[in-house]
Amino acid sequence: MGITVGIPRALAYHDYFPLWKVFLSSLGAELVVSPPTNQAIVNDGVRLAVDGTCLPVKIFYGHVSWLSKAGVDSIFLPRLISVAPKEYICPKFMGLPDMMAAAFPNGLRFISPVINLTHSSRLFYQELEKVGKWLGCTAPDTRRAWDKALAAQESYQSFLQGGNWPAEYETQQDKEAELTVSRPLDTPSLRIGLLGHSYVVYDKLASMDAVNRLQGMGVEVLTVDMLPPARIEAQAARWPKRMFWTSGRRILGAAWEYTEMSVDGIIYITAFGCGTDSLTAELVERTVRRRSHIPQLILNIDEHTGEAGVVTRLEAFVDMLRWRRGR
Amino acid sequence: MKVTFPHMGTAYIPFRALIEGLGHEVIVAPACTQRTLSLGTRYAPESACLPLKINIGNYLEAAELGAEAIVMAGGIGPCRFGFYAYVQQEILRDIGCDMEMIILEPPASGWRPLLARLKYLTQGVSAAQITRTLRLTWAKLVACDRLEQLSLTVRAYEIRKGSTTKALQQAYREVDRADSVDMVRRALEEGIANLQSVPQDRQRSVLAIGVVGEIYTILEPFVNFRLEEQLGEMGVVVRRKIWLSDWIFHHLVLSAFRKQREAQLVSLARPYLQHFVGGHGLESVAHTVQLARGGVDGIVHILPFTCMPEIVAQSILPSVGEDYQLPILTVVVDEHTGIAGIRTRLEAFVDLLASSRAKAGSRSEKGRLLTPAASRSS
Repeated sequence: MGITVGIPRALAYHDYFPLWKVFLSSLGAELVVSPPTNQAIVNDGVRLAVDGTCLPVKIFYGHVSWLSKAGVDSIFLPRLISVAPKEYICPKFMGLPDMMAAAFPNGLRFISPVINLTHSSRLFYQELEKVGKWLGCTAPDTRRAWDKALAAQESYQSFLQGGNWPAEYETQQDKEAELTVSRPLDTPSLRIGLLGHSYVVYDKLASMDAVNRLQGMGVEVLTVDMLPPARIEAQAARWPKRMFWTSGRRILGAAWEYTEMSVDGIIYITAFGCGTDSLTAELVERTVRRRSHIPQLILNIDEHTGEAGVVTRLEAFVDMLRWRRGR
Repeated sequence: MKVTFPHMGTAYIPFRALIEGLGHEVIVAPACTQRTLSLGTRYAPESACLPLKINIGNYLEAAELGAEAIVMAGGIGPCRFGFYAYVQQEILRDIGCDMEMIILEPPASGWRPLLARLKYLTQGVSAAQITRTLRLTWAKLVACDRLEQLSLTVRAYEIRKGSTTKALQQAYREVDRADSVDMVRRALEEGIANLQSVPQDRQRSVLAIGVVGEIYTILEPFVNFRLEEQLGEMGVVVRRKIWLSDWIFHHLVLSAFRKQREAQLVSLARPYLQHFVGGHGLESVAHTVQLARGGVDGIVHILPFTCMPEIVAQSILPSVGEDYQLPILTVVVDEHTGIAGIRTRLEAFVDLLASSRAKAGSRSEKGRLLTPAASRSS
């Protein structure tokens, strides 16, 4: 019986869960993943976080709280500094383990390897080996687990590039799937490019289930993860100033790619209080408007956002796109 | 070329000297007012942090006075400030304001663009003139900080409300007017003498409050509602570790010193925050520890709404406060913040600190813990 490790289903989870799960379970850990975000988790997070925190981080607090209540006392929470050269994720990711330690002073242990790809690979492996050692594994075992995890991550990313959704990958992997995505039955008549952080777009609550709602309206929805990485990279490089947030850089690249693909519309889903989106969305909006006539919708969602308001706006936007098309 | 730059407290004094010394005409934007803010909020993205909005207001008000170019710093993250100049440039372009934006990116993003911009700004200026200008700029920068630092103590003891601020403003004007290092030195000496001769009641029992937080909101009195003046006039000595001259010295001038100082801050923050988080987030935590050890009655933590690095600090500071038994007041500012609200909270906070001081004093018979001896800079 291995050590039980909790993984909050929030923030970087959506990008990296195959990597983390395979890595930890290969090292012999028993994994407990918090359930998909629900209202109780949001409420808990809102209570624990300081007011000005963005919705995704509030949700993260809620997931950690859920795990703590479920009796899990070790939580896997890597400190993500940089996952690409000269780039950061977001300042809050850098301080997240400390924020959680301050909020859960008693009993919770956070396993936080520092992930900083601007450091040497030796330092990087040292961080991983610390995790391995804690789980009672040798350095070579840890390396093997990591290689296996990387393979899983690669297969996940190519799965997404094939036009699929994270939830479908999880369904494939295990039975306790999070959400079933309703694919449109008819051939979709419209194609919408979605922009936004993975932890907003793929979180049913944080995105007010925008993906399913759009697909239910017979719209083909594209995400940043479905675009070929090389295209994103090439398009992102066209912006005059190098974007130093990884997710922001992907969003800028995707926005330009969507414009060239002539999608029917672009929807940027952002969470209230998100610092990086406040400028990224501004740049996207201005540039797309200058370069094309593609209609854009920015959905800014917080814990007080009503479902009806979102549905109305999505329907109105899709109606408008249909009307433009039929013209 | 008529050049302007965004406001940040008294930074306009050294910046004016710098850019004038390089042979450009300087248009200092009018001091920040409600109108500056309104202009900024009209054109800036709603969810951007406050400094970006006020910068836009500064540019537009300077344009009305004839400014043609803006000198602004860039950045490489992770804080949003690194993208300010670029986003502001896009905004100005879309509203048809054709000011030229001269962005000085930090050397870490490559020396070449920075050197090209600097060359552009200094074309036709002799090396001797550049050296002279840099010395004058630095002298003014240090003078402004020293005057302000002294005022933070004097104000708490002043007998007539406002007399310290008046002496300080006069001293700033003299420093601004000076056009040689010698004149700056004289202006500084005179300013210090004038501040020290402000009538004071040195027997008064005062509180000491440390101010930590994001640099712009600390330095720009318009956005912090003259926080330090307000505290001083309530009989509070203000201590802080964030100074513009310090910041420029450590970030732009000597990276060797920076390493050393950073190591100190990192070790102070370490029990609470184990990694830098951009902006001044780590500093806020480290400074709180430093100030707590130096003996303050409380901490005011100030930040712009949604500031990412400071939200990390804000989430962590309660643990520091608990360990050092130190009350912390968080002040979040944005375009909706009103002075009455801030004032009420500051008054309540000062009352709380005074009453806990009184309780502690009656228990330990120590009485005035922080009579003049404790105010270091006087």
